[in-house]
Amino acid sequence: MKIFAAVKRVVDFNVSVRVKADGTGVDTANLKMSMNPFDEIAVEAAVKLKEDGKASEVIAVSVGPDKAQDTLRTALAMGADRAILVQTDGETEPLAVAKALKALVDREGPELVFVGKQAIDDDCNQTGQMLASLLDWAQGTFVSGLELDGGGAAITREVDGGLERAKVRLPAVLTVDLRLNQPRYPGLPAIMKAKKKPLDVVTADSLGVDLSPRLATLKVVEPPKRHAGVKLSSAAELAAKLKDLVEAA
Amino acid sequence: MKSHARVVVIGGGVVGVSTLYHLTKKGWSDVVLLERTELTAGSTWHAAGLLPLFNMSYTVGQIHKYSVDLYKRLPEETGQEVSFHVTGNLRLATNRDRMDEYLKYCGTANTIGVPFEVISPSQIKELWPLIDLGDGVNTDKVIGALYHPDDGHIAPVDLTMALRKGARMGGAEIYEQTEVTGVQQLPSGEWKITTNKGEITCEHVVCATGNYARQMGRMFGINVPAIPVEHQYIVYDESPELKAYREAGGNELAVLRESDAQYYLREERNGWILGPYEKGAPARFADGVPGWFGKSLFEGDLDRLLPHVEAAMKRVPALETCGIKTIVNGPISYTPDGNPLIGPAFGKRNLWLNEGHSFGVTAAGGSGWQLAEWIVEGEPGIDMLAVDPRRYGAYTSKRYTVAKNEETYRNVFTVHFPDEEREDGRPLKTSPVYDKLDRMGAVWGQRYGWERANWYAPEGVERHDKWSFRRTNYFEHVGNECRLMRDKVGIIDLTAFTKHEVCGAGAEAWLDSLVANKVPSKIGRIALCHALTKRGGIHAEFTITKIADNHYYVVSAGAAERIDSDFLQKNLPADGSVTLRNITGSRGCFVLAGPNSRDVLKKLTDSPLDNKSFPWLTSQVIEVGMATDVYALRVNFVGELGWELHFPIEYAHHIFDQLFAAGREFGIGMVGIRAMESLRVEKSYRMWGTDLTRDNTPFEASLDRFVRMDKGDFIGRAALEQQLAAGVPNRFVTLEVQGVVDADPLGNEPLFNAKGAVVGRATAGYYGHVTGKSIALAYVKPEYAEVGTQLEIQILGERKRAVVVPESPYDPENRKLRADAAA
Repeated sequence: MKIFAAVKRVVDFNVSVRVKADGTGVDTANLKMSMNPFDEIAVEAAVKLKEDGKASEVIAVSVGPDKAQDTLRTALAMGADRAILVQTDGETEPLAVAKALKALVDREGPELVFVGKQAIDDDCNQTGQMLASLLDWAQGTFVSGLELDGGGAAITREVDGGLERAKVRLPAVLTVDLRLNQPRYPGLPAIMKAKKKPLDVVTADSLGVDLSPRLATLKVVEPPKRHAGVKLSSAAELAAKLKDLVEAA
Repeated sequence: MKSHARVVVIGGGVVGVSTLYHLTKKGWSDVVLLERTELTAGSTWHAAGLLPLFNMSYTVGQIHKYSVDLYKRLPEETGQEVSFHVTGNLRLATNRDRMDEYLKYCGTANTIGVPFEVISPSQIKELWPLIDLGDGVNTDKVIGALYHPDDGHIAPVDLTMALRKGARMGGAEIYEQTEVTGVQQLPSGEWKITTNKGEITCEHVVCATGNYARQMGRMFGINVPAIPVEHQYIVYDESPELKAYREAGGNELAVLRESDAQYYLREERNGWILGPYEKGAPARFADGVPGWFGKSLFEGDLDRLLPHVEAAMKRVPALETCGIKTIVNGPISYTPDGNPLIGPAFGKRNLWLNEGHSFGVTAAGGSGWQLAEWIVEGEPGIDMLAVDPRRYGAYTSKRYTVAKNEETYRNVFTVHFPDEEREDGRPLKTSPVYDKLDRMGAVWGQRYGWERANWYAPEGVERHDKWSFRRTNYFEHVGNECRLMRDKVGIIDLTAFTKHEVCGAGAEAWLDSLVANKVPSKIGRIALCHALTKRGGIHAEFTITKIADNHYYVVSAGAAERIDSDFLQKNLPADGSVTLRNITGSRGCFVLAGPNSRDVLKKLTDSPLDNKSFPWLTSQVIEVGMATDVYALRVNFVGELGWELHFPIEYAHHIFDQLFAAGREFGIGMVGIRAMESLRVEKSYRMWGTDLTRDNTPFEASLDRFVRMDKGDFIGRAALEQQLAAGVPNRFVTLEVQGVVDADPLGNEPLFNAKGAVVGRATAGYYGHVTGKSIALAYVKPEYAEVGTQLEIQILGERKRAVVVPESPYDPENRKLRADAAA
C-alpha cells in the first residue's frame, strides 16, 4: 500500500508575523519558514506505518513555491521515500490544493492520504475534507489515534466533548491532530540521505488543475493590542473590581 | 517616563542592562534604560549562553574573568537564578600550532589570574567519556587540551533579568516599548533624547543597541563599525548515549571546543547544542535592521555547517544517533577585529558605546563594569585600548566593515598567531610609494587600515608569511634588514604616523598642561611627551617638535589617530587661542637611519648635517632633492644615526627616488616593521599601546626623565606625586632571556621569582638580531628591577631564565644616535 503525506511550507511557529502596511496580507518576506507542525504529524504517521510493515511506500506531496522543496526534503529526512511538488507561486487555497492532490492521487494510486488537520498560517481546516469529497473517499478528521486492520482504520477523533472512536474504510483521507504521535527529529545521516531521494517537481498545468483563487481577501488587520493591566493588592479588591466590570458591561 | 536622568542607556540586551546595573553599583541611581521592544529581544534571547574565559587579549581576558565571577554571585545578590552551569570548558588541540596558541594564552591567563590546566588525551577521555580521541587516519588525533574548570554556560535571559533586578534595587528605571526617535546635544553638553513616550534629558548617553548600532550611531552623527553576522547553532533532540551516561551518574560534560574543526558543543537537556563558525556566513543589516525583523531568526542553512557537523560527529559519535530539532540562526554583532566597542564615542562629548559584542553574554558583566567606571570616574580601571571604539578610524566604511566582520566570523576558531595578517578589505590605506615597495618584495601587514611592509622578501624568496608562535620563515630576512640598518643605511616607510599641527598664541601653554614632559620652547627642539590620565597612567605618547613660533608639529602612533585626536580636540581651550589640525594625510614619513644616513642625506640637501649644526633631538625645515618644506627630525625608533623626514605628501615619490639614487653607493635598502620591532627592543624603546598603557605611570615605565614635576601642573601630576610618596609599585626593565631555542618572548608572558610567584609581566619581546640575544621588556615589582636579578619567564609553556640587564642592550651610551660627521 502506498501512502501520501501532504505537507505545507508555512511561517515558522516561533515567528511573530506582521500585517503588511496596505492590509493585503501578512508580510512573509525573509521570515523563517518550516513545515506546518500538523503535517509533521502526518509524515510521522505515514513513516511509522511503513516501519511497521503496513505500507510499501510513503510519498510526501506539497503544493507551493519552489522553496517548498526544502519542506519536502525534511519529510524525506523523516523517512518518506520520495516526494512530489506541485510548484506554484500563487496563493494556495484549500480547494485548489485539494484538486491538485486529487490529481496526484489519481496518478500515483495511494490508498491512504495523511494531511494535517489545518495549516497554522491560514487555519483553514478544509483541505482534507475537500480532498475526500473530490475523491469520494472516506474521511477521518482530527485523528489522535490510529490502528490499521484488514481494509480499514480504527481511529480516535478529538471532538469537543471528548474522544470519539470510529472505523474508516480504505481508501481514506485522514486529517491528523496534535496527540497522534511525536514527530521525530531526523539526524544528520538521515538528512544527508534525503538529499539523494527522488523529488519530482510538476506544474498544475501538467496535472490539468486550475489553482487560481476563488476567494478574495478584503482586508487583513492585526488583532487589537492588549491594554495595560492593573495591579491589585488583594483578592477582595479583585472581586470588587470584577463586579464593577460586570456591572459596567 | 522621567524627564531627566544622569545617564540614559539605550538598548535592553544583556550588555545594556549590565551597564545600567554597574552604574548603580558606582552609586549613580538616577539612571534610566530605554528599550524599543522588550528586554533581550535583539540577540541576547537567542545567544547560546557560553561563558568562555579563553581570550588572547589581556584586556578582554580581564573583562571575561570579571563576568564569570560576577555571574556566580548574582543569584545571591538579586534572588534571581541565572542557570549558571559550571561545567568547565575543554578546548581540544590536534596540532602543534594550536597547542602553541594555548600555551601562549596560558601566559595571559597566568598574569590575569584565570585558573586553567593543560591536559593530556587520557585526562580528556576521563573528563569527557563520550569523546573519540581520533586515530590520526580518519579523524585528527587529539594531542591535548586546555581546560578551564571555572566557566560553562548560563541562561542569557535569566542573567539579564538578574541584572535588571540588581539595577532596579539600585534605583535604576527601565522603560520598555520605548523607541528613540531623535537625539540632540544641548549647548550644556547634555543630550535630549526623544522617544515615542516623550523626551528625556541626560548628562550621558550609552548606546548598547546591538544589531542597531549602526543606525543608532547615525542618529548621533557617528560611524559605528558594528554589523551583525549570521551565527547558527544546531539544537539536538535527546541523545540516547548522553542520557545513559548522565543516568549512570556522569557529571554534566564540559563545554567542548574543537577549535581545529571550528565548533563548540554543549549539553542541553540530555541533547546537544552544536555551534560551528563556518565559512560563508553573511553579514546582515549593514543598512539597518528592517522593520520585519522583530524578535526573529533567519532560516537555518545546514549545508553551510555540514563540514563542521561531520567533524563533530566523528569526534562525538553520539551525535550521529541524535535528531536535529532546529537550527537557530540569528544575527550577532561583529566588529572588524572581533572585539567589542566599549568606551567614548569619537568626537562627541558625553556619548558612550557598549556595542559590537560577538560574545555579549560573556562580556556583558565586564564591559558594564569598566564602562560605568569610565563614565563615573572619567577613566576606566584597566587598559581598554583593545576595545576602545576609537581604535577605528574614519576608514571603516560599510563595505570594509562587512568584509572584515565576515572574515572575523569565519576566523573565530582559527589559530590566532601573533604575526597573523588577515587579507580581506585590503589594501585600503596606502603610502604613495606602495607600488614601489610592493615591487621591492614587501610582505604586507595592516594596522588601522594602513598597509605596512612587515618585511621585504629578497629576490627568489617567497613573499609569504608562515605564521607561527616561533621563529619562522622570515626570521633570517628580518635579521638581514636589522643588520642593514645597523651597518649601512635603511629606510622605513612610516607614512601612517598620526600627525597633528597645533598653532596659536596659547599652543605651548596648552600642550604643557596636557603632558608630563616640558614642551620645547626653542624652535627646532623635539621632546618626547606623554599625556597621562588623571590617575597618572599613560594615555598618549607624542613627539612634539617646535617648528616655528606658535607652531608645533605633534607626531604619534598611526593606530592612535582617533584616540589622540579625540583627546586633543576634547581638551582644546574654549578661548580660541589654540588651533588644532589633523594633518595625518597631508604628510608622509620616511625614516632614514643607519651609520651612512648622513652621507645619503648630505647629497640631497645643502643644510649642514654635522652635530653642531643639526644636533640629536632637533629638527629643521629643509629641502631634500627638489622637494621643499621637509620637516627633518633627528630622532628615530631604531637607535641609529638618522632622520625622520616628514614631507608634504605630494613629494613622496620624488624623495623616495632621490634617497635611493643617493643611497645606492652606501648600500641603502628598505627595512620593515618587524625589523623595527627587533631594533627598538634592543634599544629598550617602549611602544605606546603595549609597553605604555594607562595601566602604568611613566615612573613605572622607568621614563622618569620624561616627567618634569617642577614645570607646573599637568593632567595626572597629582597622581604621580602620590605615587612618588607611596612608592612606585612596578618598574620597567629589560631582560635577557637565556636558553631560547626557537620561541622568543613576544609580550604577555608572566615572570616568576625563585619561589614560583608571578612578579611581573612582559609587555614586549623579540630576538635582537644584532645583539644576538632574545630580549623581553617587562614590568616587575621594584624589588626585582635591579640589574642582575634572575627571574624566570614562561614562553609557550617552558620556563626560561631571564636576567635583568641594563637598559638598551644595543649601544647603551647612545653613541650611534649622536655620531658626528667625519671631520
